[in-house]
Amino acid sequence: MEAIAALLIEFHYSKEEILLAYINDVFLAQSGKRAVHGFGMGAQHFFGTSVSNLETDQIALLVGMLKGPSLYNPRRNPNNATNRRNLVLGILQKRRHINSSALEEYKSRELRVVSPNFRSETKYPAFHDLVRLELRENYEDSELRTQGLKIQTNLDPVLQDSLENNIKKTKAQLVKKYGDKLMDLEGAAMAVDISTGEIKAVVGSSNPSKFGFNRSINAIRPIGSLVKPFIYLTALNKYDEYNLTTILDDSKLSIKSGGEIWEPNNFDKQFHGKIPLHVALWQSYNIASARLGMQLGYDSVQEIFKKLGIDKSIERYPSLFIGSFEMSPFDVIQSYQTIAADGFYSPLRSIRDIKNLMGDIDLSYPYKIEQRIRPEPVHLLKFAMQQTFISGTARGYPRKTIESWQAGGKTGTSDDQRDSWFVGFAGDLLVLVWLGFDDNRPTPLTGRSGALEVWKNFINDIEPSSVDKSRLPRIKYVWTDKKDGLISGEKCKNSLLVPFIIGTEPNTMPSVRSKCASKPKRNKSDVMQKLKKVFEEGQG
Amino acid sequence: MSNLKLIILFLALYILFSCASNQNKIYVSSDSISVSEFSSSVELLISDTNFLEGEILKINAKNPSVQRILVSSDNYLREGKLIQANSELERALRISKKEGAIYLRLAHLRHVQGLLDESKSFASKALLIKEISSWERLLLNVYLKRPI
Repeated sequence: MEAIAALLIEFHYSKEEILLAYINDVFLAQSGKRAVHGFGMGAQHFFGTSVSNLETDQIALLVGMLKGPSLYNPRRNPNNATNRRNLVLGILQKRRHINSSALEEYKSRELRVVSPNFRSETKYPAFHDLVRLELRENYEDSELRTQGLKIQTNLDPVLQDSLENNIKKTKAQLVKKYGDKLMDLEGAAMAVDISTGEIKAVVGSSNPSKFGFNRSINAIRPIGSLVKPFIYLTALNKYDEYNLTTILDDSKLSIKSGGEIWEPNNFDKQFHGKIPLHVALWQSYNIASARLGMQLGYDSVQEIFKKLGIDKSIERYPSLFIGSFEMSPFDVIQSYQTIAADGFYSPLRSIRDIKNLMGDIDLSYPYKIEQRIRPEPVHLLKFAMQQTFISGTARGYPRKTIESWQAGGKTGTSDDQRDSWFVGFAGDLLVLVWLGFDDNRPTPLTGRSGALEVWKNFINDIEPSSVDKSRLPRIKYVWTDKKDGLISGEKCKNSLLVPFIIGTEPNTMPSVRSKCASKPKRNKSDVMQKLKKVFEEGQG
Repeated sequence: MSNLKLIILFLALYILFSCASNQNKIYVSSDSISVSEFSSSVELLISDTNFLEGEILKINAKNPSVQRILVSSDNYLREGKLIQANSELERALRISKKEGAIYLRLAHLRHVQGLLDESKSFASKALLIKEISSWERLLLNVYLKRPI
């Protein structure tokens, strides 16, 4: 059978084509779980460079390995490999491809094989994993090895390097602060373009250059309070029933669930009574969120999960509403992409297009978009997420900076602080960070003290561009009170300018605020005019 | 000599007049069209894809780098190379996301590709951009209303 196949190949292809296919496909080594096929990958694996940069002695070494990739492996059997290389060099000299002095020069050289720790296959293994996953949907392994395809990705090396450096840098800062117990701390992070869903950077480990378990796609962890924006969006999407100042109840809650009494607590172990919906979100209050989730019902919440791209069905326990739900970092950032993009879902993609040997596009991965939720309810949610930076669990940035980036975010901490999460959008980018231990033991970190630190270091490093507010004619801003949610004024204490979908804004104002709410707004020109008047009077 | 001056004066006036009339063409506001004229224009835009395409390809980007890419994308579109046209539009988006001209072309391209829901989504998304003109807004609305 093999003989027939060989004859057929001989009949259909020239010797050069057969040799080309062979040297692109032949097995050369094993790197962990990955097989190294072809001279291109072999050059990367053993010399850390592309095949076009290899010198004659290095090519001779790869050619020599064909007889026995294991026996002549330059790392494991350097003496065998040297002898074999010199044999190939001798043949080259006999066939007059090199002269005798070059032969002696090449023979005297060391093997110059890079260490196995060198990032020989790819500089960015976690990103590479995503590319491979996407490719598998459309190509067979053999096609990828033999067709000489050119794959153009969305990787942004500047963002990727910065994300890698900042996860390492922040881990070092945390180890310094909390001690050696964080030496094994692991992490994952991703940065994506909000509008287009292009994946710009991916980190799958706190040692990002290392091959192995890629936590950005494979670590399925409880998402803690990152679930809350999904619950609040479910409410805000029912805009005839809920708005940002709808009053929620954050008093003690006891529920019988699965034969046990479930009593959720807030992080600060306090109850906060009646509070407006937006405050409950940016302060990340558990009890108010659990009550809201139960009011909305599992079906409504599941529907929003689906719109955000979460296909996994939810377990019907009330603890779902405060974060027992488990997801991978990749799935979390996909669901937040729809929120950051004003309700427009775009599947995340690491590949732009694939070109064949002739340079023609073989397959493209175009920008896809689907409006899943109306932009107005999402705008309200994004407002509350912006407050997270201004007054909530991620405070610390100047208000002007947050407003110019149109930034918003959410911290997440799972039970016993086993997982520290932060997801936030700023400028054109949506960035997610997860920190935790692989064996699931508790950390001393919250979302704020851990993952947010990585996010901040990264964002400060790349300085996002400022973006305009979306044009939403159906949105109206009204001064409201941060405690009772009713109408207030700019001059009143505890007031905040809050967006509403027109027709849903509050229409009552307590009489105690009528005086401060009616005070006219004093602007700069008024002050200047008064000063001018005083000055003129003084002169007169 | 005086004849030459007269010719130069005439030419200068002619150039000035042409510029002024061109400017009028660029800054046509929807308010200046009568209601009947307006609705018949919209009907034509909705029903005649070629006419609509012609109008869309006239929309220029404010950013010169984006505009250069749009020219290339338009050429691909005219040649029927839709994948390449899309590739160029995505390149343009990487430079600026504030240009209605890019989203209009994306909405149109998806319509040509038969991806009608996506075409509508691109139009809806572009309507959230603050800086787009009323003419761009009108053209985007055409994609929201075009029959499937």
